[in-house]
Amino acid sequence: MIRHSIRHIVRKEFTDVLRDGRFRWCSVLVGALLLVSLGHGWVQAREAQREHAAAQATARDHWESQGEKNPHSAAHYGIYAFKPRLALSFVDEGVDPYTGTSVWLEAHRQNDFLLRPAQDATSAQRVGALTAAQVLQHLVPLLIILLTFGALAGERERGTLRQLLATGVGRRDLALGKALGIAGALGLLLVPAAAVGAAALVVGSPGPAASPVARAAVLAVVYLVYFAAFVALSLAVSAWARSTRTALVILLGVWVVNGLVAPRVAVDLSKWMHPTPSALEFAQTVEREMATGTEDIIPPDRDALAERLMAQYGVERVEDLPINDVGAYLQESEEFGNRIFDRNYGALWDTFERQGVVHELVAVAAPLLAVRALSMGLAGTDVEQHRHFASAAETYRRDLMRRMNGDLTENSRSGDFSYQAGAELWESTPPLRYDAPTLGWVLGNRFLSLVVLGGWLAGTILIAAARVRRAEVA
Amino acid sequence: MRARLRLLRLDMLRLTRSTGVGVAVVLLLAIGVYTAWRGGRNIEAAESSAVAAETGYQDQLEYLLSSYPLTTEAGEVLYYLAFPAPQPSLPLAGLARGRTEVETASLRIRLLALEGQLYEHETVNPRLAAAGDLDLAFLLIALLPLFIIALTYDLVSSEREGGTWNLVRLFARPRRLLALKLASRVCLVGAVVAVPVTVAASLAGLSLDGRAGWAVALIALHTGFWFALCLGVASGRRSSTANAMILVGTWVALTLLAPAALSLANAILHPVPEALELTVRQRQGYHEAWDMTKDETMQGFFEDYPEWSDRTVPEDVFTWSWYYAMNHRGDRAAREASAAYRDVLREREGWARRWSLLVPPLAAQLALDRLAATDLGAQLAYQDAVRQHHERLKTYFYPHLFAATPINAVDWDGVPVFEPAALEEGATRAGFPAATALVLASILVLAAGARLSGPRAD
Repeated sequence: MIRHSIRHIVRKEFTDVLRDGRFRWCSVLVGALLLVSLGHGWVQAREAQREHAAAQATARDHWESQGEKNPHSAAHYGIYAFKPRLALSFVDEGVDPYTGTSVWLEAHRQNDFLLRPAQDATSAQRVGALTAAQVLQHLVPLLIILLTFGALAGERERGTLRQLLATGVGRRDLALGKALGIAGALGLLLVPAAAVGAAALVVGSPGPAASPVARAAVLAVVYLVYFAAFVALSLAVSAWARSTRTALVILLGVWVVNGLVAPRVAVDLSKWMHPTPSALEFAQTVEREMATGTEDIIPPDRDALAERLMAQYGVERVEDLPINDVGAYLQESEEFGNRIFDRNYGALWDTFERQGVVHELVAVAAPLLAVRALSMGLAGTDVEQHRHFASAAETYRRDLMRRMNGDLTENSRSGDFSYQAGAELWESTPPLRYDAPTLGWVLGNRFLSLVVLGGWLAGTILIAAARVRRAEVA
Repeated sequence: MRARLRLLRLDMLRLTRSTGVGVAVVLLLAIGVYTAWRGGRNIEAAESSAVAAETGYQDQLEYLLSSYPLTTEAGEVLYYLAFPAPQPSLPLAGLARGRTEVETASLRIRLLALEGQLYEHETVNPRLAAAGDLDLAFLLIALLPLFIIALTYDLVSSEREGGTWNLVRLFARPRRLLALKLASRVCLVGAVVAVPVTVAASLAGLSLDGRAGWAVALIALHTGFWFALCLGVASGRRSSTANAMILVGTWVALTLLAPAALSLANAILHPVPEALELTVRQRQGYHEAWDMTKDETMQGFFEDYPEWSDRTVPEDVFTWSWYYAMNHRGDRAAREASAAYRDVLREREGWARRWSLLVPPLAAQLALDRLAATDLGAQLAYQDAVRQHHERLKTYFYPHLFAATPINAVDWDGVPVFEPAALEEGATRAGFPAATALVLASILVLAAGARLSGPRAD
């Protein structure tokens, strides 16, 4: 039950905030930015989804109507795979601008993803793009600070804190009332935005997702926890600081470190702890290993393979084999290449993930990093889900190559280069089906961030309680 | 004069004795020196990567020549051989990294279709790329203004709130005191700027040429702009808290919102035309040629290279001259889409340059990137240089392809070496509009501050 006094305080704080012109304008501005970025993100995500669906259909059409050709030529012809935009990607574009969303699947090679929007942008965008996630992660906390820094320090400066407490209001009730009043004012801003977001999700979901509603609900909780931690922290500083001025300067310092300094320092820290090879070194290593193999991955030997096949089928000459040894050799080369790719790309991805863990650990000093990791994860735009799709696409590529090489092996004879397959084979190859990971998978990856963010909420509330208890009256 | 100097020293002492200021100064200096050092390291890394590209090429060439029979046609070896095309970076690139994180300045190209090879990128963790880059330009353009705000927002209001303002008005000249307080803050900020810039200059081997001169001037003017803005706001009669809120609000608008909004508008106004078309067209152009007569493919090739149109290619056997002409067909098919794509990027760049002048800090940042040749324009110029290199390689090798020259008869030492993109002539002048915008904006905010706050400092 909420006591009477708290209800009064909540109502007073709430109306105070609403009456203050500066806050009103700030809130309207942040609210407008939030709605604009949500709307734009949604339109853009829909557009991208539509474009990708069309491109995927065109790619499939190209594949099916490529005419009569040797299956290995078809393998070289290849096909594009497009990463679907998940339903919530309009809230947080995550790493998508830096990864690209399409990849060409062809024989002998594991290609990199193409078309990264970051490549098409001027350097004006380096400080950040206007997305709902940016507004929620940076501007809403700033608004919270502006709403809260004077909550207790201001009362003390004006001498009203002593009067308030003299009326018998408990310190905890006072702080709680203030927090709830501010939360109410924030609610006026966030509830409509959440409603718009939910409507966008329900009315015209821009893309597929495993459990979009559950993801959205967890996403909302994550941001609420983040905001609550900021309210608690601001109240703690407001209770502790000698003047409103000091409270404001300290809180702004926290905000700058959290939003601008810590993420970038974390980048350098993770690169320093887990360096990655340059693009040049990486490409050279893959090329070298593809040419000569490694200690335990030996390139296939065509003559030895032919010998083996002849022994297996009990024939003397390659021409007498009931199969085409070229197809078998191509498949062996493909499998050899796959092991080299797995070795190198696997190591690279693992390093990326280790860098990610360091980055996530810095969240202990800056909750933004935990929120960002969770937000990207739930929106389906984090590195892990990119890797998830990339490996699905690569598995599909390998299956495609196996089918092409298998057809060549079984349906033609050694030395026959005139064999051609037709639409039947192309059509019998299933299109790429991709299932986005489940919510449990995403949260499992983000366990660290969940713990750290929870820690931040608990910690700030405890500190706020302690500070309020000990706050000086004058 | 001596008394004034003593007062200045006293105020400096008072400033630096405050814990908050002390912590901020140490933090800024630490980040500044670190970014300066890392900028130098990045330049070194780029240089050693260029060397590695060259040795990598030599190794690959040696390996190919030794593992193929000497009578192998050059075309077969050229299928694998990747030619290095490293673009050296300017010393200033250590200071303003711009888009270097997104791009690579060290492509390797094969004689195959070029379009698919032009957009390779660094193997950087996308998560880290998305988190943003910490360079000296970011520190000086984005973070330093907050320090200036923290030092000056209560320049007058603190005296008023502390009850000393009337005393000042009675016994001293308020303007002089204000000038003195401002001077000590300018000295402090100047030191915080000068130390990392000097370190960066010495580590990156920065010589004070036109580019570096403009960069330093822009940094100084940008710092001056924020002092002007703070003075304009702080000399009013508002409370310290109100001043702080106004200044931080302005900072958020100028540093975070305006660039993001301009980028968004830029992307909407200049959409990248069917981004996929380019690569799809190139692949189709290449693969279609498998089903065409060789003569048909060659006719297209000869349209672009009439000097070889007297050569013929047999229909019934595979020739490398036809194979690379097929690759050329891919580039031909993508030519229009590729040009359209580049045009849009140029439009985006030009538009951003023009409209950033309304947001002086953004104009300063973009001008710094342009001076350091780390902007989109520099990347496009680099891609053009790579295109030209690809053409030179074609010109060099095509006679061998037509003649089916074996690898031992090719002069591998005479292969054209990559000629880096020439530095943009106008870039040095790029500092001028940004500098003008900064000066005008400074005058404007000072004047507006004086007008809004009425008779100042009394």
